[in-house]
Amino acid sequence: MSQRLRHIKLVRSVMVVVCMLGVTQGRAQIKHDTLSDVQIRAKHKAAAGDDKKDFTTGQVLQTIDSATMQQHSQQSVATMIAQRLPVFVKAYSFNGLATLNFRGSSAAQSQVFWNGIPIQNAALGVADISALPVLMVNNVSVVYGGSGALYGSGNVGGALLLQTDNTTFGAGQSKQSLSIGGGSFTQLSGAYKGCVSGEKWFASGSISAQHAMNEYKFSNSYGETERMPNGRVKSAAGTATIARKLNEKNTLKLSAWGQVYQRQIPPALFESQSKKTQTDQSLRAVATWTKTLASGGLYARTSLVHDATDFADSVLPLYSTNAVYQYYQEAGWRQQIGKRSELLLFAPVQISWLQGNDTAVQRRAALAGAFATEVPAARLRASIQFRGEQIDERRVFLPGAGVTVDVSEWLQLRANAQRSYRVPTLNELYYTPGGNPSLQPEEGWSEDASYTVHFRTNGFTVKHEAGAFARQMNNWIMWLGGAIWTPHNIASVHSRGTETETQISREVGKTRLQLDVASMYVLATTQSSYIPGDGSIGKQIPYTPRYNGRATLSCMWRMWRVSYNHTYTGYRFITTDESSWLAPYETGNLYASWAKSHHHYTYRFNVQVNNIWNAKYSVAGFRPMPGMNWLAGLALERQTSKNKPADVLIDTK
Amino acid sequence: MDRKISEILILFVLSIATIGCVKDKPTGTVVVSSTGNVYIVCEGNMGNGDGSLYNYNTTTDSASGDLFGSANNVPLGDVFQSMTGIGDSLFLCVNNSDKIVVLDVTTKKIAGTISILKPRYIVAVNKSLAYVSTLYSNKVYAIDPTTLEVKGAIEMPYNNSEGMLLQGGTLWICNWDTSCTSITGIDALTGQKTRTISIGKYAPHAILADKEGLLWVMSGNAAKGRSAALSRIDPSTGLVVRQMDFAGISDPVKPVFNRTKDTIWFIQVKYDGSDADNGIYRMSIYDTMLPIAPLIKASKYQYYWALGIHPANGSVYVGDPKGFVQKGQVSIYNTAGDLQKTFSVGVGPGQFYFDR
Repeated sequence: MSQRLRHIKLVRSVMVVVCMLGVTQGRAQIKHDTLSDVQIRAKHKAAAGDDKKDFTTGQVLQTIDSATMQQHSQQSVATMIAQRLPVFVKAYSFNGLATLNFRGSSAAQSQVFWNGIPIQNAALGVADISALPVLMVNNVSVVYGGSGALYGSGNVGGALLLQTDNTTFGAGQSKQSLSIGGGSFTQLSGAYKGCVSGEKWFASGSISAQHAMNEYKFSNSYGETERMPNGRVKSAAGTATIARKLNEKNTLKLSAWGQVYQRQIPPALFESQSKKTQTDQSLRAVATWTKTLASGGLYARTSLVHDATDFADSVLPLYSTNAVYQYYQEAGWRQQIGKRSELLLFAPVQISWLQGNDTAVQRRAALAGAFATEVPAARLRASIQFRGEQIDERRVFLPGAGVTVDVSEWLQLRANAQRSYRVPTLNELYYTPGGNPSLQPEEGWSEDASYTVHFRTNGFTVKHEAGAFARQMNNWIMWLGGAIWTPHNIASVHSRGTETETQISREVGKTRLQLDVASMYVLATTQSSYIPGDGSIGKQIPYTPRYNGRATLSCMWRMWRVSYNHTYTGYRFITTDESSWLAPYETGNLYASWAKSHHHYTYRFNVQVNNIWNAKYSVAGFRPMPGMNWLAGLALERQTSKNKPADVLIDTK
Repeated sequence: MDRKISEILILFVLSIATIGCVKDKPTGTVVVSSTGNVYIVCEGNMGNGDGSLYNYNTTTDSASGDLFGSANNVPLGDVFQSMTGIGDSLFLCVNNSDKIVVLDVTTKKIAGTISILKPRYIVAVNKSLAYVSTLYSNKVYAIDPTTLEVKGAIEMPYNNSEGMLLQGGTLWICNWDTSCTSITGIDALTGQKTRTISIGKYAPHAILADKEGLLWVMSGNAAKGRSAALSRIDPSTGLVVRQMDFAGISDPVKPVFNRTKDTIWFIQVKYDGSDADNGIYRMSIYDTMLPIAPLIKASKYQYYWALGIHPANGSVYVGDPKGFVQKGQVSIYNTAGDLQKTFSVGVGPGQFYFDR
């Protein structure tokens, strides 16, 4: 045995031992988009929204592959993430409000970006990802862990990055798709997407509509079977993008996303009835200018996001309206320095305000940057990030650093440390009644370390990733109260845990078998509190499962793809002292899809059966989820391309 | 080759076997209820459906709960607002579950349920008639505590009927509405409106009668900009004989009388985390000014939400909801304000009911 082979085996054995010690999963910074046996990698460029991702060195970043996106094309981003990623999604009901919980963070500590701009409701500080249809986005990535320097205040637990289209220039390119779907509980959906481009222009658009009655059966508190009332959902959404290559160096792009989401709110098990309804309307518009320089680029984007929520309870009756605006502007410069280093400088400005409340305004301006360098001899890439931000009268400095080392062709190590920070939201400061203008920002540090093992042997391709993280947050904001809810800086919370992700695949002839397993272990406990005699010290914060796991077994043969997905979500406490909890639940989900291409056309048919074992469960207390249910969809795509797209590289392995 | 496959298998098995040092399944004991004489109404955290009924037995010096869950094996509901004993039954107003749950006083098993939107408090007139105040509507419902039927509803001039008091044949009703400046009297037997007494202060929400038969009305809604006041009213003349205004954004709630009904106790609540004007206060019915300092001071990030005076020994029972996000705490003080005992109860203790 050669010296090198012995070395490889030794290191591999060490990795196995590390696994045995309990360091579990993680995701690599490798950006893969697996579509059958074709791998598509976006070619690096200074495109809008991509720049920061390239500087998250040492952080765990995961991009959902297009096949998975297609399988969930009739569902929301919330459902897709809940079934596929080790992220806890707190869903208040089927098709109800759903928020993200990364690594034990609160919903307000997770950010959602669309084409580079933050789109969480500025009043609430959270994004309802149940209202984001998978159909409306082309790319979904998740950054695990905080990166305050790059993404700003609120990026504590992680970030969800959405892009609605990949802008490509080239004469004669067009792509159109029409899809329809239906399923249990009178679920109906339809969507049209299309894009067309010339040498110097690009246009795309989409419209989608969804309707569901959601009158599923459930067991009430007395064990009797009922049908869920007041669960209807209606939504409509549309996106439009126009891009123009002004000349060889300058490009201008305008994007808009409008959406109306009307839903009835079904009664919780403790309610005798519900006539509650909620209508959420969002309008997001962003204009982006990019300029290519000799060894870098400039960009500027300006955006306006408007969110309005109308709530009504016709029984009482109660009505409320909440309208919030968010103006976000960012200008940046990316520059290659030498052959191995890059610099990114950018200056975001964000102004948020509540309609009808002159005092409820928040202004933020920052100067931020990142420097990344590669040391080929050491197979190392390192980056540092910083952000100096002025938030109204307060100034904050957010540093961060990360490193990635390719120890060998099959082993990569990563480490990262960031300062995290979250300023209170408009509602936390100004909501009437209960807003607390004297709230202090949450602040702390987060660190993580992870590795990736990637090798092929005996026909198997194995990719195993694992990582551990830790985060200390002080001045944790918690809403307290009975008659009047008021947010307070109550506690210090220590979050730590491990993540694993393993993918094993094998190709036999034209058949590809793939197993994906992901798990998460999170301890997020209160360390100290200002509440006298607080019983939460050392206890898990509410709605943070300690254990969370996902496994998907897929079989791809020619144009067929069949998958079985199984999820496990552990106990969730609903009180801070762990005195009340919700039982763990498991769901099994089956997918099958078939596609056929003929000339420029591709037909796709997919069917899925969710909760195939008919498990009775609720994600949030007293809000039962449906038993076994199905969805089926049909899509027709037409794609023409006279020229190979300029900015997409297709590798056939 | 086999060794490599073994490595893969080991790696796979270990990758899914996330190892943690904390056992996932929570441990906890639901103590079986015991008979006792002080019931603690625990509202729960609104939206969590975790209202509960606890009990403190003064003889055995022990607390137990959840009595309802243990006896019935179903959750009680959301926002357990109040409990009233009528005959051999306990009537539990579960506000956000739109129901009144009726329990057998001995077994604590469900004897029936009455559906009423947002019930708050119940006052019994006799074995076949009781009135229920409600939030958000302008109705006070008449129920039959024996048949558990809703007999009818009285339309009030304002929404949010809240505190009620039966005095002689008159039922006095407060409407906790920010535009209401009066209390309404109805004939308790017929349900006819007979009296309206103006108090000149907005949002009356609690009413009591002292040893001289004069009414004490607490009013105000700090969150909605209505400052608080305490008014002493002669019901025979309808005149306000004394009125004391609370300063600033003080938020007094839940007044109770001592055994001899010559000292009124109340809670002042601060939601903003400060300890100013926050605690348990008391004053003689003859005092002409409100007490400046609390007898039992609340700490920062704390406020009290339940207050009761034991009719047998005068002990002061105080409930600390601890933010309504965890188990609450009940403390027992003597009349001098010295702490005697504390014990843990359900989420959001909001009312004490002393068994007769």
